[in-house]
Amino acid sequence: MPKPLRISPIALDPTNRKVLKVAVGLINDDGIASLLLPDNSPHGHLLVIDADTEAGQQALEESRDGQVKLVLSKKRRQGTNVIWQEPPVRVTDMQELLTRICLRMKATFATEEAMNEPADTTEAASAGSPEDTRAKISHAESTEAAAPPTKPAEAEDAPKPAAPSKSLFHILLNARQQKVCYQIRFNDTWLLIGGHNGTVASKNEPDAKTVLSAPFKKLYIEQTDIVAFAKNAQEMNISTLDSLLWQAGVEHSGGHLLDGHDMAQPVRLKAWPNFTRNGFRQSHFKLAAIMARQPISLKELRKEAGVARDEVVSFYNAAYAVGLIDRSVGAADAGQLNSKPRTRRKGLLGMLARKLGFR
Amino acid sequence: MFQATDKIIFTGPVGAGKTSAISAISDEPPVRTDVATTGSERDIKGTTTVAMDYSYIQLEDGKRIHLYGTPGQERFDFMWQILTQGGLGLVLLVNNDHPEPVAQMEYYLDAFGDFIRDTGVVIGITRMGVRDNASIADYQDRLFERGQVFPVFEVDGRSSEDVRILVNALLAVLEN
Repeated sequence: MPKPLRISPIALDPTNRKVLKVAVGLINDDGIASLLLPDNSPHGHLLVIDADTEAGQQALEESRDGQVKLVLSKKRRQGTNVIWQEPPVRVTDMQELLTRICLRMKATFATEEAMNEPADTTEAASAGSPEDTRAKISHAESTEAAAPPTKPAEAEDAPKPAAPSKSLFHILLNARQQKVCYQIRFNDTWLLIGGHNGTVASKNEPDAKTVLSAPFKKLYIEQTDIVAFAKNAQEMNISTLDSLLWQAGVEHSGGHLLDGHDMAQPVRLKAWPNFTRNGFRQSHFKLAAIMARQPISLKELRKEAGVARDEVVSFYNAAYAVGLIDRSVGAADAGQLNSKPRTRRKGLLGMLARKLGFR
Repeated sequence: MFQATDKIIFTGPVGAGKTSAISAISDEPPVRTDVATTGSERDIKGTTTVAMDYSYIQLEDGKRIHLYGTPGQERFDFMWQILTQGGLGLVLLVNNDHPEPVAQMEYYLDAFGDFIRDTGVVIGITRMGVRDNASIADYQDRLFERGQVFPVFEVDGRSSEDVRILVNALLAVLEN
């Protein structure tokens, strides 16, 4: 279950308090989990402030930059994460405002959870009207930069230092899991990510490759909505999000196992990746063949395949991201399925692989 | 020719691209035994393989990997068991343009069940862009329901690269 978005009423008069309460009830009915905190609680993700009162003005000044503020004031207000609305505010207006703000904040929070980031890094925009609201994502160093040097085999299964805070892989994974849309730009190249329908729209076919290979910190990533996606994606090239996600997982998840996953937990491959249409490394065939044969932990997989930990983890991340991993496997199941005699003609098969150009 | 042991079998229904796939990776153009089709098969393709296709890949030590394509028509299924004797593994090509392609896949998996259990199989789905009769996920899901996790790739049987990847996956299955 998603965590509810906490909303704090700050210095609201009884009418505005009631309007807010009804609107929160309505957006909950619409499936947007939100929780109205007691009056003047400073702990909300979203503060709804009457800034024309002294207490409201003081609360606005003391609020954290990371908190999103819906400021009710007759005077135009600007600032970091400030959304200004001139009163009076009707229930329908408040409902619409909250819906728009909450959807964007929730998606951003979900992204941050996937990236192991505290919520305070959210940057909702600051322009004066709700239409200007944006959920932006600030960038960190690319995953490649954080790749650790080669370690001895015994040390490789130890947990790695915290994953790079953000990567394109995590953004795309969030789009798929939360069914949200993003616009990703690198210089003049841009992609539209349609998490709701599993597509990527681009002007030109190589654009995805350009964006994938760009340093993450140089990407401009902005969350958008389904309407904007549909409008902008018209007459663009459409490809599958899974294909891009796979590529990002293999190349840019940096060997860092996804949060909540465990090298020691047995997992099973539900289906082979579609290698003819997605990128692959030669080791992926071996990893897929072993994982398809029986449930196995990544730790055991690395040993059996003789493949570097980072390569195992990147393969796993990518396969998990596109829905090919079954994690509902008990330890007792590991090693008991699909055992069968293997061919003794390995020398012959090796020669054939070389002939086909794979070794 | 049937007694050769270092062989890979290409099978699948009429029009799945078996002959093209063998041509895509073999060292010599396949020996083909195509004749004009009749009846309903004529709607699918003008000629078809009534006995088998044969070609080979020559390895660095001079040995040959023999490539056999089974006849597409199910009425020739008596030949399938003969062809598979001593084979290394199976390449199953399924024509996604067929009205029930997933069922076609199952038919061949069952027909070659013993051979697959003893060796391995890869599945290439051809003509994916013609009709959306099934997605790759549909094939994967059916296999998972059957407790089978076989490689399933979208392939163009005329593409050497696609067929090489298919055979490479078969080698991985056989070796691991």
